[in-house]
Amino acid sequence: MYTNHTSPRSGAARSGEPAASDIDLIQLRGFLGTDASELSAFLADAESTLRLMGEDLDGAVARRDLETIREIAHEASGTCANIGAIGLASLGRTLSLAVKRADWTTLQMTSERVSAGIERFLTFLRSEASALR
Amino acid sequence: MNILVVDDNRLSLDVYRAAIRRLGDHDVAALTAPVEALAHAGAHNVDLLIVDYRMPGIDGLNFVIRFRALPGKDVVPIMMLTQERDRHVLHDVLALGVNQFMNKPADPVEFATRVGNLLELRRSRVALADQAESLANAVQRATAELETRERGALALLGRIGEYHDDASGLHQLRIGKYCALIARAMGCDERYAGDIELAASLHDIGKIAVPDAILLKRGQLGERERSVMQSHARIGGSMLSAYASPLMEMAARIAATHHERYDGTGYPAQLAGTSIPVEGRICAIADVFDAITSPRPYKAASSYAAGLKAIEEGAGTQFDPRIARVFLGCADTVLSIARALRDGAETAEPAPAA
Repeated sequence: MYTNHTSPRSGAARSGEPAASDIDLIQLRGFLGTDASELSAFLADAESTLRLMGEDLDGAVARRDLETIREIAHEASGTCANIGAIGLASLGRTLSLAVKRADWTTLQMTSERVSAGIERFLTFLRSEASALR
Repeated sequence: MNILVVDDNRLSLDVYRAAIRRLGDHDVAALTAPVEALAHAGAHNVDLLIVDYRMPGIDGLNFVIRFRALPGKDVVPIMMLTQERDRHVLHDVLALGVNQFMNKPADPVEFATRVGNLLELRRSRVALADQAESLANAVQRATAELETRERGALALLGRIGEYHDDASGLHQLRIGKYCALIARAMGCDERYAGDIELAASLHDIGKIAVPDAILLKRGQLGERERSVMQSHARIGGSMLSAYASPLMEMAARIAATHHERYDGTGYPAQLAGTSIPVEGRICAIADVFDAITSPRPYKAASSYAAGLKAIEEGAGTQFDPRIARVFLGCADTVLSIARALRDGAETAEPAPAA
Protein backbone atom coordinates (compact mmCIF):
# COMPACT_ATOMS: atom_id res chain seq x y z
CA MET A 1 0.00 0.00 0.00
CA TYR A 2 0.98 3.57 -0.36
CA THR A 3 2.20 5.56 2.61
CA ASN A 4 -0.20 7.74 4.45
CA HIS A 5 -0.08 10.59 1.97
CA THR A 6 -3.82 10.84 1.75
CA SER A 7 -3.85 14.23 0.14
CA PRO A 8 -1.37 15.83 -2.20
CA ARG A 9 -1.30 19.00 -0.28
CA SER A 10 -1.74 17.78 3.27
CA GLY A 11 0.95 17.19 5.84
CA ALA A 12 4.53 18.38 6.04
CA ALA A 13 7.19 16.83 3.88
CA ARG A 14 9.44 14.45 5.72
CA SER A 15 13.16 14.92 5.63
CA GLY A 16 14.65 14.00 2.22
CA GLU A 17 11.23 13.89 0.56
CA PRO A 18 9.69 16.42 -1.78
CA ALA A 19 7.43 19.08 -0.41
CA ALA A 20 3.83 17.89 -0.43
CA SER A 21 2.99 20.56 -2.96
CA ASP A 22 5.46 18.98 -5.43
CA ILE A 23 3.36 15.90 -5.96
CA ASP A 24 -0.31 15.36 -6.67
CA LEU A 25 -0.84 11.99 -5.04
CA ILE A 26 -4.44 11.72 -6.17
CA GLN A 27 -3.28 12.12 -9.74
CA LEU A 28 -0.44 9.63 -9.42
CA ARG A 29 -2.39 7.03 -7.48
CA GLY A 30 -5.44 7.59 -9.63
CA PHE A 31 -3.50 6.41 -12.63
CA LEU A 32 -1.10 3.85 -11.16
CA GLY A 33 -3.36 2.36 -8.51
CA THR A 34 -1.78 0.25 -5.79
CA ASP A 35 -0.13 -2.38 -7.91
CA ALA A 36 3.53 -2.74 -6.96
CA SER A 37 4.58 -4.00 -10.37
CA GLU A 38 2.97 -1.04 -12.12
CA LEU A 39 4.77 1.37 -9.82
CA SER A 40 8.09 -0.44 -10.26
CA ALA A 41 7.78 -0.30 -14.03
CA PHE A 42 6.83 3.33 -13.82
CA LEU A 43 9.79 4.07 -11.55
CA ALA A 44 12.19 2.42 -13.98
CA ASP A 45 10.85 4.48 -16.87
CA ALA A 46 10.83 7.65 -14.73
CA GLU A 47 14.48 7.14 -13.78
CA SER A 48 15.54 7.11 -17.42
CA THR A 49 13.01 9.51 -18.94
CA LEU A 50 13.17 12.28 -16.37
CA ARG A 51 16.96 12.14 -15.99
CA LEU A 52 17.33 12.32 -19.77
CA MET A 53 14.97 15.27 -19.82
CA GLY A 54 17.06 17.00 -17.17
CA GLU A 55 20.29 16.36 -19.06
CA ASP A 56 18.77 17.59 -22.32
CA LEU A 57 17.60 20.73 -20.55
CA ASP A 58 21.01 21.40 -19.03
CA GLY A 59 22.65 20.91 -22.42
CA ALA A 60 20.15 23.17 -24.19
CA VAL A 61 20.63 25.92 -21.58
CA ALA A 62 24.41 25.61 -21.92
CA ARG A 63 24.07 25.87 -25.73
CA ARG A 64 21.51 28.65 -25.37
CA ASP A 65 19.19 26.60 -27.58
CA LEU A 66 15.81 28.23 -26.99
CA GLU A 67 13.88 25.96 -29.34
CA THR A 68 14.98 22.81 -27.51
CA ILE A 69 14.29 24.42 -24.15
CA ARG A 70 10.80 25.35 -25.37
CA GLU A 71 10.15 21.75 -26.42
CA ILE A 72 11.38 20.37 -23.09
CA ALA A 73 9.37 22.94 -21.15
CA HIS A 74 6.23 21.96 -23.06
CA GLU A 75 6.89 18.29 -22.42
CA ALA A 76 7.63 18.88 -18.74
CA SER A 77 4.52 20.92 -18.10
CA GLY A 78 2.25 18.40 -19.81
CA THR A 79 3.69 15.04 -18.95
CA CYS A 80 4.75 15.90 -15.41
CA ALA A 81 1.29 17.20 -14.59
CA ASN A 82 -0.14 14.00 -16.04
CA ILE A 83 1.92 11.84 -13.69
CA GLY A 84 1.32 13.98 -10.63
CA ALA A 85 4.74 15.70 -10.62
CA ILE A 86 3.13 19.08 -10.27
CA GLY A 87 6.30 20.74 -8.97
CA LEU A 88 8.12 19.79 -12.16
CA ALA A 89 5.10 20.79 -14.22
CA SER A 90 5.18 24.21 -12.60
CA LEU A 91 8.87 24.55 -13.37
CA GLY A 92 8.05 23.63 -16.97
CA ARG A 93 5.64 26.52 -17.17
CA THR A 94 8.25 28.83 -15.65
CA LEU A 95 10.68 27.70 -18.35
CA SER A 96 8.09 28.37 -21.07
CA LEU A 97 7.60 31.93 -19.87
CA ALA A 98 11.35 32.49 -19.59
CA VAL A 99 11.84 31.18 -23.14
CA LYS A 100 9.38 33.75 -24.44
CA ARG A 101 11.37 36.51 -22.74
CA ALA A 102 14.75 34.88 -23.52
CA ASP A 103 15.41 35.35 -19.81
CA TRP A 104 18.64 33.40 -19.47
CA THR A 105 19.04 34.08 -15.76
CA THR A 106 15.67 32.47 -15.02
CA LEU A 107 16.34 29.68 -17.47
CA GLN A 108 19.65 28.86 -15.79
CA MET A 109 18.15 28.93 -12.29
CA THR A 110 15.07 26.96 -13.29
CA SER A 111 17.15 24.36 -15.06
CA GLU A 112 18.98 23.69 -11.80
CA ARG A 113 15.69 23.52 -9.92
CA VAL A 114 14.37 21.04 -12.47
CA SER A 115 17.33 18.71 -11.87
CA ALA A 116 16.75 18.87 -8.12
CA GLY A 117 13.00 18.41 -8.60
CA ILE A 118 13.57 15.32 -10.69
CA GLU A 119 15.70 13.76 -7.98
CA ARG A 120 13.10 14.57 -5.34
CA PHE A 121 10.35 13.03 -7.42
CA LEU A 122 12.39 9.89 -8.03
CA THR A 123 13.21 9.62 -4.35
CA PHE A 124 9.52 9.84 -3.59
CA LEU A 125 8.69 7.16 -6.12
CA ARG A 126 11.34 4.85 -4.71
CA SER A 127 9.92 5.25 -1.21
CA GLU A 128 6.42 4.52 -2.52
CA ALA A 129 7.65 1.47 -4.37
CA SER A 130 9.37 0.06 -1.33
CA ALA A 131 6.27 0.71 0.78
CA LEU A 132 4.19 -1.30 -1.66
CA ARG A 133 6.52 -4.33 -1.59
CA MET B 1 -10.58 -5.56 -26.23
CA ASN B 2 -7.44 -4.42 -28.06
CA ILE B 3 -6.35 -0.92 -27.16
CA LEU B 4 -3.60 1.00 -28.93
CA VAL B 5 -2.06 3.88 -26.98
CA VAL B 6 0.34 6.22 -28.77
CA ASP B 7 2.30 8.92 -26.95
CA ASP B 8 5.89 9.88 -27.51
CA ASN B 9 6.36 10.15 -23.73
CA ARG B 10 6.98 6.83 -22.02
CA LEU B 11 5.71 8.05 -18.62
CA SER B 12 2.35 9.11 -20.02
CA LEU B 13 2.05 5.72 -21.68
CA ASP B 14 2.79 4.03 -18.36
CA VAL B 15 0.04 5.81 -16.49
CA TYR B 16 -2.52 5.37 -19.27
CA ARG B 17 -1.72 1.67 -19.54
CA ALA B 18 -1.97 1.16 -15.79
CA ALA B 19 -5.36 2.89 -15.68
CA ILE B 20 -6.67 0.85 -18.63
CA ARG B 21 -5.54 -2.44 -17.10
CA ARG B 22 -7.64 -1.78 -14.07
CA LEU B 23 -10.70 -1.46 -16.32
CA GLY B 24 -10.57 -5.10 -17.35
CA ASP B 25 -8.67 -7.79 -19.14
CA HIS B 26 -7.65 -5.72 -22.14
CA ASP B 27 -4.68 -6.11 -24.45
CA VAL B 28 -2.85 -2.79 -24.41
CA ALA B 29 -0.23 -1.93 -27.02
CA ALA B 30 1.55 1.20 -25.76
CA LEU B 31 3.91 2.66 -28.33
CA THR B 32 6.02 5.84 -28.39
CA ALA B 33 6.75 5.88 -32.15
CA PRO B 34 3.80 6.91 -34.36
CA VAL B 35 5.18 5.09 -37.41
CA GLU B 36 5.54 1.88 -35.44
CA ALA B 37 2.03 2.39 -34.05
CA LEU B 38 0.57 2.73 -37.54
CA ALA B 39 2.33 -0.47 -38.59
CA HIS B 40 0.90 -2.18 -35.51
CA ALA B 41 -2.60 -0.88 -36.34
CA GLY B 42 -2.24 -2.16 -39.90
CA ALA B 43 -1.42 -5.65 -38.69
CA HIS B 44 -3.70 -5.99 -35.64
CA ASN B 45 -7.27 -5.56 -34.61
CA VAL B 46 -7.75 -2.31 -32.70
CA ASP B 47 -10.89 -1.62 -30.67
CA LEU B 48 -9.83 1.74 -29.25
CA LEU B 49 -7.11 4.22 -30.16
CA ILE B 50 -5.76 6.66 -27.59
CA VAL B 51 -3.34 9.09 -29.18
CA ASP B 52 -1.36 12.14 -28.17
CA TYR B 53 -1.82 15.26 -30.27
CA ARG B 54 1.72 16.52 -30.23
CA MET B 55 4.25 13.93 -31.39
CA PRO B 56 7.46 14.14 -33.39
CA GLY B 57 7.33 13.00 -37.03
CA ILE B 58 3.60 12.41 -37.37
CA ASP B 59 1.37 14.64 -35.26
CA GLY B 60 -1.93 13.44 -33.84
CA LEU B 61 -4.04 14.82 -36.69
CA ASN B 62 -2.00 13.12 -39.39
CA PHE B 63 -1.87 9.98 -37.33
CA VAL B 64 -5.67 9.88 -37.15
CA ILE B 65 -5.99 10.48 -40.90
CA ARG B 66 -3.62 7.58 -41.65
CA PHE B 67 -5.21 5.37 -39.02
CA ARG B 68 -8.71 5.95 -40.40
CA ALA B 69 -7.46 5.01 -43.88
CA LEU B 70 -6.40 1.57 -42.70
CA PRO B 71 -8.78 -1.31 -43.51
CA GLY B 72 -11.44 -1.76 -40.83
CA LYS B 73 -10.32 1.29 -38.83
CA ASP B 74 -12.92 3.74 -40.08
CA VAL B 75 -15.25 3.28 -37.11
CA VAL B 76 -12.79 2.48 -34.34
CA PRO B 77 -13.34 4.92 -31.44
CA ILE B 78 -10.53 7.40 -30.91
CA MET B 79 -9.61 9.51 -27.91
CA MET B 80 -7.02 12.23 -28.30
CA LEU B 81 -5.06 13.84 -25.47
CA THR B 82 -3.35 17.18 -25.76
CA GLN B 83 -2.08 20.17 -23.89
CA GLU B 84 -3.41 22.40 -26.66
CA ARG B 85 -6.20 24.71 -25.62
CA ASP B 86 -6.68 26.17 -29.10
CA ARG B 87 -10.31 25.89 -30.17
CA HIS B 88 -9.30 25.39 -33.82
CA VAL B 89 -7.27 22.35 -32.85
CA LEU B 90 -10.30 20.93 -31.08
CA HIS B 91 -12.49 21.54 -34.12
CA ASP B 92 -9.95 19.98 -36.48
CA VAL B 93 -9.69 16.93 -34.27
CA LEU B 94 -13.45 16.48 -34.01
CA ALA B 95 -13.86 16.98 -37.76
CA LEU B 96 -11.58 13.99 -38.31
CA GLY B 97 -13.96 11.76 -36.41
CA VAL B 98 -12.13 11.70 -33.10
CA ASN B 99 -14.74 10.66 -30.52
CA GLN B 100 -13.23 12.08 -27.35
CA PHE B 101 -10.85 14.93 -26.70
CA MET B 102 -9.09 15.30 -23.34
CA ASN B 103 -6.76 17.99 -22.16
CA LYS B 104 -3.57 17.18 -20.26
CA PRO B 105 -3.16 16.77 -17.42
CA ALA B 106 -5.78 14.08 -17.77
CA ASP B 107 -7.82 13.43 -14.67
CA PRO B 108 -7.45 9.70 -13.96
CA VAL B 109 -11.10 9.16 -13.05
CA GLU B 110 -12.31 11.07 -16.09
CA PHE B 111 -9.80 9.22 -18.26
CA ALA B 112 -10.96 5.82 -17.03
CA THR B 113 -14.61 6.77 -17.44
CA ARG B 114 -14.12 8.02 -20.96
CA VAL B 115 -12.11 4.94 -21.94
CA GLY B 116 -14.81 2.73 -20.45
CA ASN B 117 -17.49 4.59 -22.41
CA LEU B 118 -15.57 4.27 -25.65
CA LEU B 119 -15.04 0.56 -25.09
CA GLU B 120 -18.76 0.18 -24.49
CA LEU B 121 -19.41 2.09 -27.70
CA ARG B 122 -17.06 -0.27 -29.51
CA ARG B 123 -18.74 -3.34 -28.03
CA SER B 124 -22.13 -2.06 -29.15
CA ARG B 125 -20.88 -1.34 -32.64
CA VAL B 126 -19.25 -4.76 -32.95
CA ALA B 127 -22.40 -6.45 -31.67
CA LEU B 128 -24.50 -4.44 -34.13
CA ALA B 129 -22.14 -5.31 -36.99
CA ASP B 130 -22.22 -8.99 -36.02
CA GLN B 131 -25.99 -8.89 -35.93
CA ALA B 132 -26.12 -7.16 -39.32
CA GLU B 133 -23.73 -9.72 -40.78
CA SER B 134 -25.76 -12.55 -39.34
CA LEU B 135 -28.94 -11.09 -40.81
CA ALA B 136 -27.23 -10.53 -44.15
CA ASN B 137 -26.08 -14.14 -44.18
CA ALA B 138 -29.58 -15.34 -43.36
CA VAL B 139 -31.02 -13.19 -46.14
CA GLN B 140 -28.36 -14.47 -48.53
CA ARG B 141 -29.16 -18.07 -47.66
CA ALA B 142 -32.89 -17.48 -48.04
CA THR B 143 -32.35 -15.70 -51.35
CA ALA B 144 -30.17 -18.53 -52.63
CA GLU B 145 -32.82 -21.03 -51.61
CA LEU B 146 -35.51 -19.02 -53.38
CA GLU B 147 -33.34 -18.77 -56.47
CA THR B 148 -32.78 -22.51 -56.46
CA ARG B 149 -36.51 -23.11 -56.18
CA GLU B 150 -37.24 -20.55 -58.87
CA ARG B 151 -34.73 -22.16 -61.20
CA GLY B 152 -36.21 -25.57 -60.52
CA ALA B 153 -39.70 -24.27 -61.24
CA LEU B 154 -38.50 -22.61 -64.44
CA ALA B 155 -36.83 -25.77 -65.66
CA LEU B 156 -40.02 -27.70 -64.97
CA LEU B 157 -42.11 -25.12 -66.82
CA GLY B 158 -39.80 -25.40 -69.77
CA ARG B 159 -40.25 -29.17 -69.87
CA ILE B 160 -44.03 -28.78 -69.69
CA GLY B 161 -44.02 -26.25 -72.50
CA GLU B 162 -42.06 -28.52 -74.79
CA TYR B 163 -43.77 -31.76 -73.83
CA HIS B 164 -46.23 -31.74 -76.72
CA ASP B 165 -43.60 -31.88 -79.44
CA ASP B 166 -40.37 -32.67 -77.58
CA ALA B 167 -40.88 -35.15 -74.76
CA SER B 168 -37.14 -35.52 -74.32
CA GLY B 169 -36.73 -31.83 -73.48
CA LEU B 170 -33.53 -31.73 -75.50
CA HIS B 171 -34.62 -28.81 -77.70
CA GLN B 172 -34.97 -26.50 -74.71
CA LEU B 173 -31.66 -27.72 -73.30
CA ARG B 174 -29.83 -27.03 -76.58
CA ILE B 175 -31.38 -23.59 -76.93
CA GLY B 176 -30.27 -22.74 -73.39
CA LYS B 177 -26.73 -24.00 -74.05
CA TYR B 178 -26.44 -22.08 -77.33
CA CYS B 179 -27.68 -18.87 -75.70
CA ALA B 180 -25.27 -19.23 -72.79
CA LEU B 181 -22.43 -19.90 -75.24
CA ILE B 182 -23.24 -16.76 -77.22
CA ALA B 183 -23.56 -14.68 -74.04
CA ARG B 184 -20.14 -15.79 -72.80
CA ALA B 185 -18.58 -15.14 -76.19
CA MET B 186 -20.10 -11.63 -76.10
CA GLY B 187 -18.30 -11.01 -72.80
CA CYS B 188 -21.25 -11.41 -70.44
CA ASP B 189 -20.50 -12.73 -66.97
CA GLU B 190 -21.26 -16.23 -65.73
CA ARG B 191 -24.28 -15.07 -63.79
CA TYR B 192 -25.87 -13.67 -66.94
CA ALA B 193 -24.88 -16.73 -68.98
CA GLY B 194 -26.51 -19.00 -66.39
CA ASP B 195 -29.64 -16.88 -66.33
CA ILE B 196 -30.08 -16.78 -70.10
CA GLU B 197 -29.46 -20.53 -70.33
CA LEU B 198 -32.41 -21.16 -68.05
CA ALA B 199 -34.62 -18.32 -69.25
CA ALA B 200 -34.18 -19.31 -72.92
CA SER B 201 -35.44 -22.80 -72.17
CA LEU B 202 -38.87 -21.20 -71.70
CA HIS B 203 -38.88 -19.45 -75.04
CA ASP B 204 -41.71 -21.59 -76.43
CA ILE B 205 -43.78 -21.85 -73.23
CA GLY B 206 -46.65 -20.10 -75.06
CA LYS B 207 -47.08 -23.21 -77.23
CA ILE B 208 -49.08 -24.61 -74.35
CA ALA B 209 -51.92 -22.50 -75.73
CA VAL B 210 -51.53 -23.85 -79.28
CA PRO B 211 -53.81 -26.80 -80.10
CA ASP B 212 -52.04 -30.09 -80.84
CA ALA B 213 -53.78 -30.19 -84.22
CA ILE B 214 -51.73 -27.18 -85.23
CA LEU B 215 -48.61 -27.79 -83.17
CA LEU B 216 -48.13 -31.36 -84.40
CA LYS B 217 -49.54 -30.93 -87.86
CA ARG B 218 -47.57 -32.59 -90.62
CA GLY B 219 -47.32 -30.34 -93.64
CA GLN B 220 -47.75 -26.62 -94.22
CA LEU B 221 -49.92 -24.57 -91.89
CA GLY B 222 -52.75 -22.54 -93.28
CA GLU B 223 -52.89 -18.78 -92.76
CA ARG B 224 -55.16 -18.99 -89.72
CA GLU B 225 -53.19 -21.88 -88.29
CA ARG B 226 -49.98 -19.95 -88.76
CA SER B 227 -51.56 -17.01 -86.96
CA VAL B 228 -52.49 -19.27 -84.05
CA MET B 229 -49.03 -20.78 -84.02
CA GLN B 230 -47.42 -17.33 -84.02
CA SER B 231 -49.54 -16.27 -81.06
CA HIS B 232 -47.34 -18.46 -78.84
CA ALA B 233 -44.75 -15.68 -78.61
CA ARG B 234 -47.19 -13.10 -77.31
CA ILE B 235 -48.89 -15.60 -75.01
CA GLY B 236 -45.58 -16.87 -73.64
CA GLY B 237 -44.35 -13.33 -72.93
CA SER B 238 -47.63 -12.49 -71.24
CA MET B 239 -47.63 -15.66 -69.11
CA LEU B 240 -44.10 -15.19 -67.86
CA SER B 241 -44.37 -11.46 -67.21
CA ALA B 242 -47.04 -12.20 -64.62
CA TYR B 243 -44.29 -13.33 -62.24
CA ALA B 244 -41.97 -10.58 -61.05
CA SER B 245 -38.37 -11.69 -60.78
CA PRO B 246 -35.32 -10.70 -62.83
CA LEU B 247 -34.96 -14.24 -64.18
CA MET B 248 -38.63 -14.53 -65.10
CA GLU B 249 -38.59 -11.07 -66.67
CA MET B 250 -35.69 -12.17 -68.87
CA ALA B 251 -37.62 -15.32 -69.76
CA ALA B 252 -40.64 -13.17 -70.65
CA ARG B 253 -38.53 -10.94 -72.92
CA ILE B 254 -37.14 -13.99 -74.70
CA ALA B 255 -40.52 -15.67 -75.11
CA ALA B 256 -42.06 -12.49 -76.47
CA THR B 257 -39.28 -11.51 -78.88
CA HIS B 258 -37.42 -14.58 -80.11
CA HIS B 259 -39.39 -14.51 -83.37
CA GLU B 260 -38.76 -10.82 -84.01
CA ARG B 261 -36.43 -10.12 -86.91
CA TYR B 262 -33.61 -7.62 -86.98
CA ASP B 263 -35.13 -5.94 -90.06
CA GLY B 264 -38.48 -5.47 -88.32
CA THR B 265 -40.48 -8.07 -90.25
CA GLY B 266 -40.81 -10.63 -87.48
CA TYR B 267 -43.61 -11.21 -84.99
CA PRO B 268 -45.48 -10.49 -82.79
CA ALA B 269 -44.54 -6.77 -82.49
CA GLN B 270 -42.38 -6.18 -85.60
CA LEU B 271 -39.58 -4.77 -83.44
CA ALA B 272 -36.36 -3.97 -85.29
CA GLY B 273 -32.65 -3.68 -84.53
CA THR B 274 -31.66 -3.02 -80.95
CA SER B 275 -35.24 -2.30 -79.93
CA ILE B 276 -35.43 -6.11 -79.75
CA PRO B 277 -34.08 -7.09 -76.32
CA VAL B 278 -30.61 -8.59 -76.65
CA GLU B 279 -31.80 -11.88 -75.12
CA GLY B 280 -34.44 -12.11 -77.86
CA ARG B 281 -31.82 -11.46 -80.55
CA ILE B 282 -29.57 -14.15 -79.07
CA CYS B 283 -32.36 -16.70 -78.76
CA ALA B 284 -33.58 -16.04 -82.30
CA ILE B 285 -30.27 -17.32 -83.66
CA ALA B 286 -30.17 -20.33 -81.34
CA ASP B 287 -33.79 -21.23 -82.12
CA VAL B 288 -33.45 -21.02 -85.90
CA PHE B 289 -30.21 -23.02 -85.91
CA ASP B 290 -31.82 -25.69 -83.76
CA ALA B 291 -35.04 -25.72 -85.82
CA ILE B 292 -33.07 -26.27 -89.03
CA THR B 293 -30.85 -29.00 -87.62
CA SER B 294 -33.60 -30.87 -85.73
CA PRO B 295 -36.39 -33.06 -87.11
CA ARG B 296 -39.96 -31.75 -86.95
CA PRO B 297 -43.27 -33.54 -87.61
CA TYR B 298 -43.36 -31.83 -90.96
CA LYS B 299 -39.66 -32.09 -91.95
CA ALA B 300 -36.45 -33.99 -91.49
CA ALA B 301 -33.38 -32.49 -89.85
CA SER B 302 -31.01 -30.55 -92.09
CA SER B 303 -27.26 -30.64 -91.73
CA TYR B 304 -25.31 -28.54 -89.27
CA ALA B 305 -23.67 -26.87 -92.23
CA ALA B 306 -27.10 -25.85 -93.49
CA GLY B 307 -27.91 -24.46 -90.04
CA LEU B 308 -24.74 -22.38 -89.90
CA LYS B 309 -25.28 -21.19 -93.47
CA ALA B 310 -28.79 -20.03 -92.59
CA ILE B 311 -27.42 -17.94 -89.73
CA GLU B 312 -24.75 -16.46 -91.95
CA GLU B 313 -27.28 -15.59 -94.66
CA GLY B 314 -29.72 -14.12 -92.16
CA ALA B 315 -27.16 -11.81 -90.52
CA GLY B 316 -28.34 -8.21 -90.84
CA THR B 317 -31.87 -9.16 -91.97
CA GLN B 318 -33.28 -11.84 -89.71
CA PHE B 319 -30.51 -11.69 -87.11
CA ASP B 320 -28.38 -9.10 -85.34
CA PRO B 321 -25.21 -9.27 -87.49
CA ARG B 322 -22.89 -8.79 -84.51
CA ILE B 323 -24.46 -11.65 -82.57
CA ALA B 324 -24.56 -13.82 -85.71
CA ARG B 325 -20.79 -13.31 -86.09
CA VAL B 326 -20.27 -14.29 -82.47
CA PHE B 327 -22.36 -17.44 -82.98
CA LEU B 328 -20.52 -18.43 -86.13
CA GLY B 329 -17.21 -17.76 -84.34
CA CYS B 330 -18.20 -20.44 -81.82
CA ALA B 331 -19.25 -22.97 -84.49
CA ASP B 332 -17.07 -25.75 -83.11
CA THR B 333 -18.61 -25.49 -79.66
CA VAL B 334 -22.10 -25.11 -81.15
CA LEU B 335 -21.66 -28.38 -82.99
CA SER B 336 -20.30 -30.10 -79.88
CA ILE B 337 -23.45 -29.09 -78.01
CA ALA B 338 -25.66 -30.16 -80.91
CA ARG B 339 -24.03 -33.59 -81.04
CA ALA B 340 -24.05 -34.11 -77.30
CA LEU B 341 -27.74 -33.24 -77.02
CA ARG B 342 -29.00 -34.59 -80.34
CA ASP B 343 -32.55 -35.94 -80.46
CA GLY B 344 -31.54 -39.33 -81.84
CA ALA B 345 -28.98 -41.10 -83.92
CA GLU B 346 -30.90 -40.35 -87.06
CA THR B 347 -30.84 -36.63 -86.28
CA ALA B 348 -27.13 -36.18 -86.29
CA GLU B 349 -25.30 -35.70 -89.47
CA PRO B 350 -21.61 -35.35 -90.01
CA ALA B 351 -20.30 -32.05 -88.80
CA PRO B 352 -19.78 -29.53 -91.53
CA ALA B 353 -16.26 -28.86 -92.61
CA ALA B 354 -14.69 -25.85 -90.93
